[in-house]
Amino acid sequence: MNSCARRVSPASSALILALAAVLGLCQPAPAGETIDRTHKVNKDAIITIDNLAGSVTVTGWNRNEVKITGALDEQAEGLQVEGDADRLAIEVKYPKRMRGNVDGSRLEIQVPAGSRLEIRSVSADVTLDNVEGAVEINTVSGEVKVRGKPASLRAESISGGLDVVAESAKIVLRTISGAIDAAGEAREFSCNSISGGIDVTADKNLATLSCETISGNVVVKGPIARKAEWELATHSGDVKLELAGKIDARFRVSTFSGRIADVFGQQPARTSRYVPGQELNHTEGDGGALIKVDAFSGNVRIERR
Amino acid sequence: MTTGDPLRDALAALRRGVPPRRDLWPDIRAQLAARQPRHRAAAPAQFAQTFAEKAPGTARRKLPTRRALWATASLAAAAAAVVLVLGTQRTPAGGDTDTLVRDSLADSYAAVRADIQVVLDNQCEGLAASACNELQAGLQELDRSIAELRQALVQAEDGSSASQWLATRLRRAVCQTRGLAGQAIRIL
Repeated sequence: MNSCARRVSPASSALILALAAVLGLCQPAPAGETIDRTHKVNKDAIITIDNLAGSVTVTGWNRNEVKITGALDEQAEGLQVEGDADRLAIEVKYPKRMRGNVDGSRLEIQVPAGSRLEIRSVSADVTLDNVEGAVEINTVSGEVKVRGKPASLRAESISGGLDVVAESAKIVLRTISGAIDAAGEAREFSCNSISGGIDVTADKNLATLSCETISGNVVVKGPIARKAEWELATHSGDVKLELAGKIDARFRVSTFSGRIADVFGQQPARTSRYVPGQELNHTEGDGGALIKVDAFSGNVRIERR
Repeated sequence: MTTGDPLRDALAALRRGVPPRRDLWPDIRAQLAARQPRHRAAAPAQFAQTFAEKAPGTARRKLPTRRALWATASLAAAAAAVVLVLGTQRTPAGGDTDTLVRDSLADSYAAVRADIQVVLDNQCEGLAASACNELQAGLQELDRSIAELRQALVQAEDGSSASQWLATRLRRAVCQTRGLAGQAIRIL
């Protein structure tokens, strides 16, 4: 609910305006100037942040308030903050037409650790630390860096890289050409890219891993849990698995024209007399986990670390 | 490949499915094609209405008409769903089916790709040129992969495991394109 858009009676409008002035709501910060604002919110408030260019750094803390500091770009029209204790929208306003290069606005925002975050940027870099609520990030070319324990994380970019070290129930990362570099603990992890490379350091608790690219290479390192299911697929990108610790897994690996390096001494077989594809089905240990790798023309290598 | 456990090995050796003696898809397709398109949406309800009006047993049991309508509509919908599922599943040794799968997936891809292109054409002005170029480059990567998969499917033996594998990859590539479309819409 946007408190600034609510209809109010004339009698109460003066009181609300006075309150708004005290709280700093609905009052854009002047362009090019430094910001220092604080807003009371609930511990699980939904906080949306929009910043076209520059940077957004969000840090979770144990206070039920949002503190915004930083500096606006020279060309920015102002910082608009709307909302109430349940939902707060923070947006750097820019004119429709801008002159020359835009340095961007630098925002440093402290939020209740359990708040839910929705962050959008075009080229602004986004950094999150110590957050515990659900997080959604959308950027075009900004670099994204996430640390902490978000309840869930979904981050998307076109060309910006996604760098995640987090503990979370579910992590979903998607890029077009940006690189994905992820580590930490997650029960369910999914990543997808067209041409960006994917590098995942798996944790022993990772139950479900699903990664897919067209031409980007995929590298997954780490131990595999006993009942885990990993599924990796590429078109022309290579897949490399570096497995650590005790390995109890069934391997189902197949390519259309790519090569499969031997897996723990097992040689791949041709899929057909007529096509150059290879496949390899192998069980290591008691075969509790399942690792499925598909590549069209990409090569596959699986090795013990 | 053996697990070392005779029971598990024997279980693994069992057949997982029984293929039909002949390709069922042409008949199903013929039945689907025989329907008038304008009747498709209303077919279950019409069938139910007809059944409720004409089935004497139903009338004798004094089943309320509305209840009969719901029951038969549910049955008809379930039957229609089965027909549709059968229609989308692959059947063995079906050259026609392979072509249909390939073409329908290619159509899906073309439709999703066209949607993305519309979004790009309309929205790219507001973005940095590099971002649009990245999206276009991503689309071209998908184009290339789809073209290679289709080409490989054409060359693969109909009904073979390679053909099925390629169809699955093609389906995944189309899904990935849908994902890209969603991402483009969310970002742009």
